[in-house]
Amino acid sequence: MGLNGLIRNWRRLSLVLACLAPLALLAQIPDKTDRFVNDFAGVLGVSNVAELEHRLQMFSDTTTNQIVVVTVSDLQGYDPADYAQRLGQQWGVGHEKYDNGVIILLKPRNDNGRGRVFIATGYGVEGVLTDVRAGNIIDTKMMPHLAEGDYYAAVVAAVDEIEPLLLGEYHESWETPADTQDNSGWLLVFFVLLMAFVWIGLKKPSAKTKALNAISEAESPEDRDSAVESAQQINISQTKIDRALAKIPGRLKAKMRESSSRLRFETLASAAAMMGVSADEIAALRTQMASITLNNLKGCRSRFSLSKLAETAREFGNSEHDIEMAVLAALAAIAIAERMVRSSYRGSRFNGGSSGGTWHSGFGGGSFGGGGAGRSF
Amino acid sequence: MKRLFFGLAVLLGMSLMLSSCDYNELVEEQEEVEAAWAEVQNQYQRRMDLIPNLVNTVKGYAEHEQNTLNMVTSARAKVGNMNLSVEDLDEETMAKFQKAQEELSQGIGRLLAVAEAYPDLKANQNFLQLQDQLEGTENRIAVARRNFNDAAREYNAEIRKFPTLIYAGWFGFKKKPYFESQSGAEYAPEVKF
Repeated sequence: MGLNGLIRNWRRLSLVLACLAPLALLAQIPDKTDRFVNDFAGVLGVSNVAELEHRLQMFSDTTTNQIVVVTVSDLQGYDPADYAQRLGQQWGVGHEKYDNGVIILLKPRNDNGRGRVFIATGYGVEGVLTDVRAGNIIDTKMMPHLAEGDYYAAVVAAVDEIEPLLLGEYHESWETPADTQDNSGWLLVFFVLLMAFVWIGLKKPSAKTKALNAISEAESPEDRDSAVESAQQINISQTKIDRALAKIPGRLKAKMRESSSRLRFETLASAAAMMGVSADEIAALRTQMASITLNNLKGCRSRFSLSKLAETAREFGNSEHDIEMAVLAALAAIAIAERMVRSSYRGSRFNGGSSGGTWHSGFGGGSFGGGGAGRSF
Repeated sequence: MKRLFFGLAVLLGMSLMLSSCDYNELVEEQEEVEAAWAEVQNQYQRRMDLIPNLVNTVKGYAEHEQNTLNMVTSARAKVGNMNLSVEDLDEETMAKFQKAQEELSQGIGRLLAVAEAYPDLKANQNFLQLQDQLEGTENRIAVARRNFNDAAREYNAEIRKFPTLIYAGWFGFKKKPYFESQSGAEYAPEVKF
């Protein structure tokens, strides 16, 4: 092609290069690892790396603060701040909820140019590790070692400074992730139920239905007779009235079971005796009521209704001891439920690391907003 | 009869749910654009708040640079008058906003360049801290702008998709403008010492 050809094709070539450049640039951030010390440039020393790795892993496990050290021999044209921010964000360093990650990025002095160092802070630590403080740590703690080419000592000096700062802010422990449930299914069910209720509510019961309901809900013979009479006045057929009448004993028994006081129960019982419920059935219900009310008390999940339910249980002849035990059981269940609500609230936003499927390996999903400071050396 | 009505209610509910999904997604993406824009404003505000301190510090050492100082102060005033809500964002207002901020960036750049000539100023502790803060703020602005562009890109793609496209207009979902990278502004302007 020769020089002339090259010059002729320069426009096209530069166009191709211009298109490729951003692609090449974006591809260069190293893939996420699950290590805290990533000595890609090979300047820290193998045994040193293992020691620092252990230290940073422990720090993460016990406090959720994640400090990640990355050395690269070439920044591939990135500004160090940009490189560190992208790396922190892509790797998700720090707890997702606290964004408490820190990246110490080091590019040693080499054939690719001057040495660069940058401390990038996650959103959550910008307050304790301000840009000024980060710059100060580099100036006073790292620079003396960097000037001598002792990169490991520089990194350790920075970690020594940063750890206590982060500890002052976050010292939580990783929590096992709460089951993240997909709520959309429930939403659908809720919606459909709502529609059904609205529809039922909107539908006005006809006068006939009302009259028939009045018969089957009657709680005394007088009520019943007057309801039947008004039903006959609006020409309801005798078979329908008979069917409503047949429902009365069943409804009365249900109401007796649900009655919330002894007085209400006895009122219903005397009405039931006059309206076709046999004396045996009433006696059986009366003996059952003690255990029914006791069970209601045990199953109570609201502190507010406890005393009312205990009173009812007392009226139906339960012993004080049984009532006390039932109240204690209910209180314990309420306490457990409350604790579950609290802990699921606490853990709800944590996704866990994506690598390996366990929550403590890898990084927690923290975000970086460009905070931090850097120097050349 | 009752069953039929119930079935109809279920069907109606489900179809409403399905068609509202797209709409909800759109709203969510709009919210994201709004949040990203708020962050952009936030970071630019942070930079603005640093400027009086910077100007005062430089003034103490470099009184002869009145021109540069005035330029920064007036650029700051101009930016301060622009408070853009996300609804007002279109190509035109965005260009204006960017131009004003760009002027301020240039002013700050010049002010920092001026400092090179004053060794006392360069060694001043307060000035050193301001440099770190300014640099950090520029980095944050770059990230916030990138995040805004990403959110706007996703949102803009969504409102052009079928069937969203049909009703996006009815509900006033408008295309959002992007930050254009000027003179390699994708990367934070480097503050050199």
